[in-house]
Amino acid sequence: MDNLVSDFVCEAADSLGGLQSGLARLAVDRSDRAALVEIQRRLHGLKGGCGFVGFNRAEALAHAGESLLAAVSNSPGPVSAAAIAPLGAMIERLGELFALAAETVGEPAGDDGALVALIEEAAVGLRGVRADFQPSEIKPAGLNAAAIVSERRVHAPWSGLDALARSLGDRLGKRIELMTGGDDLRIDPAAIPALRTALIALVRNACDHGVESPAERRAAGKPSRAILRLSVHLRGDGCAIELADDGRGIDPELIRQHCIAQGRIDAATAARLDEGELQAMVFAPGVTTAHTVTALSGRGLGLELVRREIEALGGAVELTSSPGCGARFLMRLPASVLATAAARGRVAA
Amino acid sequence: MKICLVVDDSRVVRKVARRILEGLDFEIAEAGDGMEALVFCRAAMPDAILLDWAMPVMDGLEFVRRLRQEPGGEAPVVVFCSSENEPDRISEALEGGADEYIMKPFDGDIIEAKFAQAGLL
Repeated sequence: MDNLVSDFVCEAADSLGGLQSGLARLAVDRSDRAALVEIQRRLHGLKGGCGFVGFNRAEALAHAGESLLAAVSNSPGPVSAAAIAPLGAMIERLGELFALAAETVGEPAGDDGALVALIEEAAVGLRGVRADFQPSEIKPAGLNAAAIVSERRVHAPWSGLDALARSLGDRLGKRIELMTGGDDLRIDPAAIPALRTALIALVRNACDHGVESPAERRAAGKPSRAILRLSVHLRGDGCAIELADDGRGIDPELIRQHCIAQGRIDAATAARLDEGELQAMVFAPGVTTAHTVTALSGRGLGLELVRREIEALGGAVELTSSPGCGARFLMRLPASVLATAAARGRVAA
Repeated sequence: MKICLVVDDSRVVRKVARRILEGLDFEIAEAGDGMEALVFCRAAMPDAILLDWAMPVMDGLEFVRRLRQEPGGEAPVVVFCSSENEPDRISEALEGGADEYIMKPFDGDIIEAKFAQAGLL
């Protein structure tokens, strides 16, 4: 891998050269949009490479720089002088970092918190200008799940969930990848909205509450990137859709304590509930799987909503979870939700 | 042996992809931008293409749109990759003719899963 780091450092030096000349052009002519595009492309490429060699400092700096560049390119008119200085400082810091990296064949330690904050502040400042300019264009990135999913080609209730998971992960500072697999089956268009609503709620729940922070995951000996697996299978007369995550799982004891604390059940009844019964409680109104209510939290409504949608389709949903290893939500749905020839054949037979 | 064309302007990324894909028994060809990739495809259509978004000369989106117009250009499975998190961009890529999408940095597991999903393994 050392070889790869050396290659990366050489390539980074080239990217830096491109960034410097781009910024120099922009400093001379602040209406030079071509220079801005070139800077964006160079920085984007550089950031992409950082991830492969684990250069976290450089990646964080480049990420902040990209936010600032995005704000710059969305602002009308010549590039604001307020953006040039932080970009210059970023390029300079990256230059120092890569010079050291070339000697040690690895990313040097250091703290860029103040500089990252400065760059981000500049971005926020520019976005503020833009907010006054055209308020309807401001989208809460990663928050409007239904909008994100509907923007993509819609073939199936699960279309676009991978993009949603990534966006939510990005917003939460987690790296999350969603994989879809299983049988090739089609859902009846009439069943799609309910199923989509349920799946979005489950994905949000998994990203928000199920998946730990990268630091927690590393401490638990897991890869920092979390995987959500969505599998779809023909099963009996209908189908089974499962969403499994490799996050912290849902501890039955926490559900028990939560239900007692809320006065939902008394301690004696709670003590008699077995693991399966406790896991079923997460679908009751007002029960939350969240440790703390976060910005994206369903506030206890998410899983109840899932149950309602699935039951409206004539199906059932259940949770199995082992604390520390993840959670699986299994939805069983009747043949009426299917639109495949196979299913129609089966129903007819 | 199936052929996978890796299209990325970063030699580092191409190298990582090559290591992973050779491990999955692909024969690898490389291109540094969309134009080089198009020239390669005109000579010999690969089975799969791992495609970067932002590249000089011709970007990934332009490449996949043009590829799909070429004779035989419907055949390769195109897996788009980018560190972008923007859903607009992902849908643009898929509408432009890409079959699958992965996020950088990718690793062996991700590539294997997505390639399997796309019917390449």
